[in-house]
Amino acid sequence: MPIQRLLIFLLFATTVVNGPKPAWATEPDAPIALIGGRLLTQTDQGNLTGDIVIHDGKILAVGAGIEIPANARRIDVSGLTVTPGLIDVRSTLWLTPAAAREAASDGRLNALDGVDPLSEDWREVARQGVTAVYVQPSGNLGGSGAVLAVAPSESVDTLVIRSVAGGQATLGTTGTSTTSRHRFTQYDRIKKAFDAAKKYGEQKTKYAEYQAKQKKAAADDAKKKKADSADKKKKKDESSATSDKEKNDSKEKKPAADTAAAKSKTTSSTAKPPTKPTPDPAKDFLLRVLSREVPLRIEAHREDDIAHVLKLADEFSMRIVLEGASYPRAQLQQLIDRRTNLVLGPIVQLESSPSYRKGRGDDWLTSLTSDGVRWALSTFGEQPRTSRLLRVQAAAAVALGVQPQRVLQAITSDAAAILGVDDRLGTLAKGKRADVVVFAGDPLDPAAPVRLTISEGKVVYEASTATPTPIIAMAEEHLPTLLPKSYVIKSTRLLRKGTWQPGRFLVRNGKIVALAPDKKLPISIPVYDLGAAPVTSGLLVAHGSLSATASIDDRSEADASNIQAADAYDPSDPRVTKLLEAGFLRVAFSPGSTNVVAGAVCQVRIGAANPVRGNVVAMKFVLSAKARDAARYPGSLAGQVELMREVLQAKGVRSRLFAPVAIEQALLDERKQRIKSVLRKRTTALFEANSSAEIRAAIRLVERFEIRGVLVSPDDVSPFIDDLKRLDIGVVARPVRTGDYDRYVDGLAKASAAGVHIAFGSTAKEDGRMTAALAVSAGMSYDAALSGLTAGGAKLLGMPSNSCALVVGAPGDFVVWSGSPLDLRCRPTNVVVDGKIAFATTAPGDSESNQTEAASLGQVNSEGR
Amino acid sequence: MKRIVITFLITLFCSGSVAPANDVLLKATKAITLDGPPIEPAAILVHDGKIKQIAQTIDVAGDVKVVDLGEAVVVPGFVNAYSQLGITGGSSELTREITPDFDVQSAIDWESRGFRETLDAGVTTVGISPGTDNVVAGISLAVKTTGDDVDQRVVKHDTGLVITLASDPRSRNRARSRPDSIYVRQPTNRMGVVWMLRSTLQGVERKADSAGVLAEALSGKRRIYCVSRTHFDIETVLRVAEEFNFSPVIVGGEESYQLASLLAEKKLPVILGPLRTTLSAGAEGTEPAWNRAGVLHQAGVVIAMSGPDLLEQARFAVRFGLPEDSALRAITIEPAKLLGIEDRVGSLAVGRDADLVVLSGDPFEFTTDVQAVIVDGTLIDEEDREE
Repeated sequence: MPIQRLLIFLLFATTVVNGPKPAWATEPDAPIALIGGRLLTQTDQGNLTGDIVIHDGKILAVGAGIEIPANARRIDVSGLTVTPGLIDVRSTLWLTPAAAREAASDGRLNALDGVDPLSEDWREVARQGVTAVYVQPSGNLGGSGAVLAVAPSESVDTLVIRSVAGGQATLGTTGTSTTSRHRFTQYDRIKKAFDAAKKYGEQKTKYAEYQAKQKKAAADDAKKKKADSADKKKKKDESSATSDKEKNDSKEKKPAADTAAAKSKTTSSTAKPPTKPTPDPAKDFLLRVLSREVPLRIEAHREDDIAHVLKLADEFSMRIVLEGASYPRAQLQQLIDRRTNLVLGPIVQLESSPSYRKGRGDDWLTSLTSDGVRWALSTFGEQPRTSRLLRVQAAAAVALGVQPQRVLQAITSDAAAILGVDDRLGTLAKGKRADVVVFAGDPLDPAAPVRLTISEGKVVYEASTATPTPIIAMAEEHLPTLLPKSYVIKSTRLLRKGTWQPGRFLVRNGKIVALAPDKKLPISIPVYDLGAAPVTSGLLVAHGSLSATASIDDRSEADASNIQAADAYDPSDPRVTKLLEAGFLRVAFSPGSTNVVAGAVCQVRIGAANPVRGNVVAMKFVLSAKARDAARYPGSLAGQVELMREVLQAKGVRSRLFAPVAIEQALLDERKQRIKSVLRKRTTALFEANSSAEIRAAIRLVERFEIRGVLVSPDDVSPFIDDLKRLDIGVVARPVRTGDYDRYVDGLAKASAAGVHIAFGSTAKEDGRMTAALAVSAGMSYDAALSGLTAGGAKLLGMPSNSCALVVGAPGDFVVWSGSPLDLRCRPTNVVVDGKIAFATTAPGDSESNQTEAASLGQVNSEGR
Repeated sequence: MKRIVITFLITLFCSGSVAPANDVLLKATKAITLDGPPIEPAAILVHDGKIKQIAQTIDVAGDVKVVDLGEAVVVPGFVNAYSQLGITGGSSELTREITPDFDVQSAIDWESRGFRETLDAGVTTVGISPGTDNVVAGISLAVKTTGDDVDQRVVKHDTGLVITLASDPRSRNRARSRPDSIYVRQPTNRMGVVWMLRSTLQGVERKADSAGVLAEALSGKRRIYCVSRTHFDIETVLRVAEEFNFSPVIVGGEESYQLASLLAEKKLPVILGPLRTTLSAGAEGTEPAWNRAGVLHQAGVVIAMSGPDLLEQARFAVRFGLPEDSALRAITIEPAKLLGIEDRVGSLAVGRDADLVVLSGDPFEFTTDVQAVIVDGTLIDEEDREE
C-alpha cells in the first residue's frame, strides 16, 4: 500500500521536525569545551580567563591555553562567567511533599526513601545554575540526608552524589517548642538516642570481640588437633560433631549430652557470652555519626538551643553543622572560636516566616560569617522548586555586607566542603565532577540569566539567547549627613528617560530646580560628585497597601468606591521605614481586595512631610476570589462582573445599607463622580485579576467601557498579550512567590517584549526589585524593567509626569545606589527626601575604606536617620 | 490504522487552514444524519465551517481537498444540554436565593480542562447553566467546546431560565437561630424552596409586567429548565407549572420514570442526569433504575441525556432497553432542540455547522471509539485533544 507508506513517512517526518529535542541528547560522548570564559574556579588558581574541557562527566582541564580535543563540541563563552555548579545545602528538591514532612525522633528515616526521581521540578532549578542539592528528613532527630544531582534521571541511583552525607536534627523549631522546657526535652531526646546508640555500639563491639575470640579459639583448637594423631583427631571430630548436633536437637543420646554439658560449663566459668544485639539500622546510622564519619546537622536558632548543640558536640565529640543560628547572642563567640560549620539562610523570606526566624538583626549574617568560619548559604526550601531562588539569597547576603567572594564560596566550594563532597564538587579543577554553569553576567546577580548548565558533563539547561546584563560596578558613595539648602548632585549615572546618563542636577529648598545648572554657580553651592554611583528617583510600588488593608476596607458593601485608601496611611508604620530604606519613595496606595469596587488609589510619598499627594490616581476593581463573600452580594465571579457593569454604567448604584436620605445621596454623588472620572479616562481603572477567567473578564470590561485599564496581580498573562497590547492595558506584576512556576516571570518577559508596559507591585520590603530582577533574567529588557520601577510605572498608572523622575519641578527625592537597582546585591547608600537625607548606610565591614570615602564627601553618620 | 487516518487528516487540514476558504470533501462509509435516513456511502462537502452539501457521492472539481475517512461512520457532534462546565469563581450567586438575571457567561474559563475532556468524548456543544444553589438560578447558554474566538464559541446566549425545585437551595442554610451576620440565607427546608418559587412567581403575576426574565419565562417567551430529581419534587413541578401555566423541561429527573405517563400526557421533556451504574442510591437518595430512559421513551416522553461521556450514556441506555435510534437522538438532535439551537447543531444537513464525530464503526458497538472530532469544519487533532 504505497499511500500507507507515505503516511508512515509523513508521521515520521513530523515527529523529527516537531519533536522537541532535549538539549542533552546531542552527541552523548563528545567532549565539551567552553572557550574563553571568565572562570571563577574557587581554587588556588583564582579567577582567570580561559577554557574548560569536559569529558566523560569529569573536568579534563582548566586554564588558559589548554589543548582542546578536535572532536569537542566547542561553546564560545567569551564575555560570560563560568562557575562551578551551585549547591543548595538544604533543599526539598526531589522529595515528595509527604516525604519532606516525614518526621522522626530516633534517626530512623532516610531521605533517599522519599525521592521521586521522575519529578520535573529540577528543570527550573537547573535553569538557575543549581546543580546539586542536599535533602534530609524532618523531625527532632530525623535520619540521614543525601546529596543529589539536579539533572534528568530515571532512578534514585543516578541522582545520588553522596547517599549518607549527614544526620538531621532540630531543636526548637516546632510549634510546641516555645518554652525552654519543651526545648530541653528535645535536646534530651537527641541525647538519649545517642546514648542508646552508644550502648548499642558497645554491645556490638563486645559481641564482635567475643565472636572473634570464639573464632580464634576454634582456630587454635583446630591447630592443636592437627598436631595430634590422626586416630585421636577422628574421635574428637566425632564428639564435636555430636555436640553441634546437640545444640539443635533436644532429644540427644545421653553420653554425648554429658560431654557437651561439661564443655559449656568450662566456658561459662571463664566469661559469660555477651548477648547478640538485635540489628537496628537507625542506631547503626547514629553510630556512623558518633564515629565522625558523617556530621550531625542540627537546626537551632535560640541561644539556649545553640548552647545545647555545643553541649551535644562536646558530650559525644561529634562533627556538628549548625543550621539557622538566628539568635546566637552569647553563643556567638563560642561558635566562632570553635569554627563550627554553619548553614545559613534564608535571608529573603517570601512568604510568612516562622517565628524563630523573625526579627533577626541586620548584623546577623555579618556577625556569624567572620573569617575562618566555614559556612554555606541555603534557601531552606520548603517546596521543591524553592532552590531556584538560591541566587536571590546570595545577592541578599552581599547586600547585607558579606564579601561577594565569600558568598560565592558559600554556594560552591564551602557548601561542598560542609557536605563532605569537596573531592567531587564545588570547584573548577581537573578531575572534579563536571558540574559547570555559564552565566551571562555576575553569578550572584539574580537578574543575570544562566546561559548553560552542565551536570556531570551533560548539558541540562541551555538558553537559546542570554543577553548579558550590563555590569555596573559596585560603588559605595555617600552624601554628608546634613545637606545644605542648595546643592548640586553629580554622577556619571543618573537615571533619566529610562537610561543611565552622566549629568547633574540642582536641588534647592527640597525641589529639583535645574537639570544641568550652568557652570557659573555661586561658589557657595556645593557640588557632590558621586562618581559612578547610580542615582535614581525613588522607586515606585505600583500597587500596595503596606498591609494596612484592615484599616482601609469596609466589608459591609461590595461597592466601596467612596473609600480612599491613602486616608489610612500611617507614616510611623515600621514597614514605611523599611520601604524607604529599600529605596522605594512612591506608593500607589491602594485599598485591599475584600470589596469588588475597592476604592480610590492615591499617590503616597514615603518619608515626606506631606505624604499624600495630588488627586485620585486610579480606582481599584477586584475580580479575584478575595472579593467574593457569601455574606453580601456578590458571592461569585459572574456577580462581580455584573456589579462592575452596573457601577460602570455610572447611573449610580444605591447603597444597600440603611442611611439617612441626605447621606445616601451624598454618597451616591461621590461614587458617581469617581466613576465618571474613570469613564472619561482621567482616572485609571486597576483590575485585580488572578486566574485566566478573571483576566478575560477585566479585558472585556476595559473594552466594553473604553477605559484606561491596568491589570493587577495576574498569574499568567501570556495567553492575553495580544489583547493587552490592542487595548493598551498595562500590568502591575505581583511579587514572585516561592511556589510560582517560571511561567509567571516568563509571561511578564514575553508581554514586555510585545510592548505591554509592566510595573511592579509589592507587599513587603524588596519584592518589587526582586520581581523585576527575575523578569530580567527571564528575558525582559533591562531598560523596561528599570522603567517599570520608576517613571514608566508611574506613567502606566497615570500619575503626574514628574512622579518617579529626576525632572525639573519634581520634589528633591532621589536615591544613591551602590550599583544597579535591578541588581539585588546592591542597596541604597543614601535616600534623600525633600532634599534632606532620610537614610544613609555606612560601607559594611571595611571601615577603613569607608572612612576615606566618607572623608572626601564629609562625615557620614549611620545613626543620623 | 486509526493513527494513520488522524495523521492524514492533520496534514490535510493543516495545509487547508492556510487558505480556510478552501472546501473540504469528507468521504465515509456511513453518515447518520438524524435528518432523514442514514446515507451509505456518505460524502459531505464542508465550506467555511458549514455543511454545504451532503449526499452519497458528490462530484467536486478544482480547489477541494478530499479526505477519505475509510471505514469510519460519521455522526453529528454530540450535544450535552446541561452542565456547569468551565464556570469559575462560584456557579451560583449565593448572596440571594432568586437570581433570574444571573448570567455565568462572564465567569467561564474557556481554557478549562473540562472542555477538552468533553470534546475528547465527541461532545461539540454544551449547555452551561448556573449552579443549583439558588431557587431561581439564572440564565443558561449554549457554547461550542472548542474554538479560537470566545465570542464565536457561544452558539446561543440565554437558552432559557434555570430554576431549582430540589433540596439543593436549602443545603448549608440554617434557621435564624444565630443572627451573627447581617445576612441570613433562606430557605432552610424543601417546603421553603417551593414557597420561595411560588411567591416569586406570584409577584411576577401581580406586577403584570411583561418585561424581565421571569415574566418572559412565564409568558412562554423563554424556556424554563427545572432541576428536579425525586418523584415528589417532579410532582410539585407539575403542580406549580399548572398553577402558573408554563411547561418546563425537567432536568436531572432521576425518578421521572415513575411519572412517565404523566409527563408524556403533559408533553414535558426530560434531560436525564448521568446514569449511575452502581447500585447505590442516586442524588438526593433517588431510586436508581437502569432502564429509566427506555421507560420514558416507551411512554412517549422526549428525552435527552447529559453528563460527561454522552456516547457511553447512550450505549448503557441501549443495553437496558432504549432503541438505538432514540438513544442517538437523545445525545444529538433532542438536546439541540431543547436548547433551541437545532438550526445549527444536532444533525447533519445543508446549512448546519460542520460539527462531526468520526467513529471507527457502529456507534453502539462497545469497541467503537472516537477517532476524530471536527468542530466548525476544523479538525481537532489528537495532540490538542490529549493535551
